[in-house]
Amino acid sequence: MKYILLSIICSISALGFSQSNNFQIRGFGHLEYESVIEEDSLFSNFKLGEQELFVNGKFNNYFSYLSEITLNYSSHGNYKLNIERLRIKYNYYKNHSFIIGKFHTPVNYWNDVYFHARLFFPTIDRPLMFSKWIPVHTFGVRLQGQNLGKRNFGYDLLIGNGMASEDLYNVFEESSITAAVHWKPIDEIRFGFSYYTTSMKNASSMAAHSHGHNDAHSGVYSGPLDFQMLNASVAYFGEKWELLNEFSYNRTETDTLGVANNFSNYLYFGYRIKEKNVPFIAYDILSTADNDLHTFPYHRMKFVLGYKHEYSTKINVKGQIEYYRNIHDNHDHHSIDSMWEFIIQLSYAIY
Amino acid sequence: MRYIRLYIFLVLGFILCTNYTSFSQNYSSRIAIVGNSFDNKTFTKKEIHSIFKGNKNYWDNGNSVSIVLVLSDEDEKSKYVAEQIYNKSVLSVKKYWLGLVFQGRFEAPVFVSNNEEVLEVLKNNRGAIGILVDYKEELDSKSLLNILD
Repeated sequence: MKYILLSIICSISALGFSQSNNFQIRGFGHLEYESVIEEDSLFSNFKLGEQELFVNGKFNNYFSYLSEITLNYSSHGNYKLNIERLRIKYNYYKNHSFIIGKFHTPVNYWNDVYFHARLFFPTIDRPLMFSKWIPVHTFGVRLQGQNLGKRNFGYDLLIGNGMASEDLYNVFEESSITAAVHWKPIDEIRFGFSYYTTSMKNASSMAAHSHGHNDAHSGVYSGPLDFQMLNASVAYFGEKWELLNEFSYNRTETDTLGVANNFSNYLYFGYRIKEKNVPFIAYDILSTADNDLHTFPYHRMKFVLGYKHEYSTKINVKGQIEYYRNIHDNHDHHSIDSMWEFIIQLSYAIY
Repeated sequence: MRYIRLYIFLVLGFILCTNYTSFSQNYSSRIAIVGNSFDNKTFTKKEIHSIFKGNKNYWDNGNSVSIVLVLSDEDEKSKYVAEQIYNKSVLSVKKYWLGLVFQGRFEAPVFVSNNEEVLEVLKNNRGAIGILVDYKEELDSKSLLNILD
């Protein structure tokens, strides 16, 4: 209840800003139905997805504000309020900025462009790597440049908290560094590369999103771990064709089991018909080494066949059939059963 | 009251394109790009496209770039602007801006409903730039600048 009250207070405060300054408020959200078929069992649910409040505006020519606050269903009668982004940006010279606050770590295209509003997602779900190792949020400081030169070059350099916390940066305890570059040779295409590194004192202490909470493992490793990650993204969203490829490789090192190499790749193709209809396919694969103590062994593939219809810029519906299976059919102790999923999602924006 | 300079830019290059659709031909020679207190120079078509896509935060004179657009789903003039400036449909341009604002990369354009409102917003905002289509009134000839093709 207190969270809902806080949310209302935030909304009213933001509304006050919007009326007196050039601040703008937008709402985003989604509703979802899913059916899962696993072995002989079938379960379905219809659920309220993330509902969010997006506020942005300028204090003057140089300083701007942006926040994204979400409200999530957590259990019967309870909702969880999260600050997903809250940042003050100082645009100190042309297209160069200094940013302080909590932001989405710009390690790949998806995390730097889509954030939490499902309205923008090309598929219903995030790529598998997001549930395993992508550090979605970072709280800290960031240097950013965008649309530089003829090829629209961009860069980001971040120093902030590690994976143990998303809202508190223990400066001398655990830090992360992110360096990312991207360029857009033409408007519809963006290439990007990034490097992320952090050292954890306790690998079991993970913040939300950046770890697979759904896959509980007994005897979670709680010792120190070094984590380094490389990502490469290619995105093309033209008037007809759409393509997104996200590649991620990470290397973890522990005193116990040494170096482990893990990778994941997400590939999406869509084709727009009569402006508002996009049938699409996607293929997602994630594989971790058997000696990995961060993600733990996981060898999974996901095939997606889907369709999106955009009623307007503010509302769309997506339908998806998903099939999950193990990469290798060796039926070892890491194997998980194959699974079919059918999902329908209605996502919207209010402004 | 401080005098606000209003620069008017006529886009001559657009009429050279030959593959316009039928509705586009009606407006091909009547498009003007207007602005208030920004760099007094000649722009290329590519630079104008880039500015309207939100790739430039500040003018060289220090004023921040603010974009003013008329964009209505059913309006032929809006379709023409979307096609010529963004090479997209009106729906795609709206999605483009919603995404850009959500990413925190640029301030949202000021969306208005006609040419008169474009000029009204420009008069009150230094650094603002907008597009007039099929504008019938006389424009300030002292402030005309060509855009290189």
